[in-house]
Amino acid sequence: MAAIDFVSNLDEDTWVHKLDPRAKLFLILGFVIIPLLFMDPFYLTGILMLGLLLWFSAKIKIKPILPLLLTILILAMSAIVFATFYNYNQPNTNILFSIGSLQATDIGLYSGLILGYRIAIPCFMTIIIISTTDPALLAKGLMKMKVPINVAFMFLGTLRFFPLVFEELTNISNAQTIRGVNKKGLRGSWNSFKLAVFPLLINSLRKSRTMGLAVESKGFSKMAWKEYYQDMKLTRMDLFVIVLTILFFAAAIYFRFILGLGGSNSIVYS
Amino acid sequence: MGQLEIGNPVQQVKRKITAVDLITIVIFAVLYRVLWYFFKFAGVVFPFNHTFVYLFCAFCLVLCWVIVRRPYASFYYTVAWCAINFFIQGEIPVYWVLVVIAPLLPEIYLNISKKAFSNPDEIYSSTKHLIIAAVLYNIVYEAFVWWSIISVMKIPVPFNLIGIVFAISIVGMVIGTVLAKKFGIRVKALLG
Repeated sequence: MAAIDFVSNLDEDTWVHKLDPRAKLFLILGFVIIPLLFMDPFYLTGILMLGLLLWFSAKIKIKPILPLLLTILILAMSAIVFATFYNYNQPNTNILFSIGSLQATDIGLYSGLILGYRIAIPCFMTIIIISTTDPALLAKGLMKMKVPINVAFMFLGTLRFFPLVFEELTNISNAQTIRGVNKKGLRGSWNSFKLAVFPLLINSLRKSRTMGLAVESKGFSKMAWKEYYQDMKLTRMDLFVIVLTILFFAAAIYFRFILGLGGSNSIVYS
Repeated sequence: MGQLEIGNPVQQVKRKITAVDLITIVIFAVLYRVLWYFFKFAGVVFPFNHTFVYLFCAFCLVLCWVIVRRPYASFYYTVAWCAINFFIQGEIPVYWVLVVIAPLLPEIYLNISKKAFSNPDEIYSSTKHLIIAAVLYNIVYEAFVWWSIISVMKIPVPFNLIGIVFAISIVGMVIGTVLAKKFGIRVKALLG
């Protein structure tokens, strides 16, 4: 288990990095919602391609976030494999191959692909926002959107602490490996979890106390955090991205519900 | 000592949620989502992996209540883990809209029940009340999850299988709560 590093991607200077966090949130929300409208892998592939275009134009370095990408890939693949071998009880099912009593069907594979895409697309797209936006700036953007300060602070704390806790877990996991802890199977995983949870919690809580006190000493409870010098105005580029997202959303609704495309080809739910 | 009566500024600050509380809640939310990787890779087959989700969720939620001891702690906990879900683990927005409602019932329950205690904070040491609150939270959460699995993700899971998983999950929630209460009191004593 390797640590995830989101910070190393913040240094780039692409147009995605320069976007206002509010515009970025809007854009990513579009990519999260639109895949849910379609039930056809062909259209979902199209959405993924558009997303990848955005991904590559943001020049996100893959190496620091490789563990996270692998996790997403494993989750999506496991959904595909599970659905492929699931018995959907459809009369026109074609068996692709069999492993013992398990039968892989075309309907299963098809619905697995839909499921895999629905898991993978939002995951890949939300990585763009956390890899290209400083969490503090994101919290300020949320406050500008009238999100309460406590909630915005939770966002900031979460995005800052998740990699730290993950790193701590990685260190504990590595220490367990060196000491020969058996992590294989359910029993081994449970055993390693039991051994990891106490040091993980205590070390994380120690860090949280230090950070919390530092924030408190800067007047958090007095709500002094509501004011900051950084000017956050939407530029032309931000407005262009927001308009483009609205058009993208409108086009998706037009294709799906007015033209009836992208859903009727579904074998499982037709 | 007249200045330390209820309602004075010092007492009001003490009742208010501070940055230390919020960050502590964040830690438990992060812990919950990190633990999620454990069972994901432990090889527990769907849908039985869900029984572990609620065990871990109840465990971390009760740790929040026992250590932080503030009203609305479960709401902040939910916001934090939903933020991880959305930004880092890529969940669908349905989670945001629906699961954020999950803390409503337990918080109302805890608020009403704490009136029976001479020291309202004592409710966070009562195993019975913590079990009820944690089960209320997780039942709402699990109901939304199953709804999203069937209606949004379109995974056809038989109803009787959902019933079995739901029943096992409730046992998991109770186990998580009992373990967390014991563990939380120990951690609180260690932290001071």
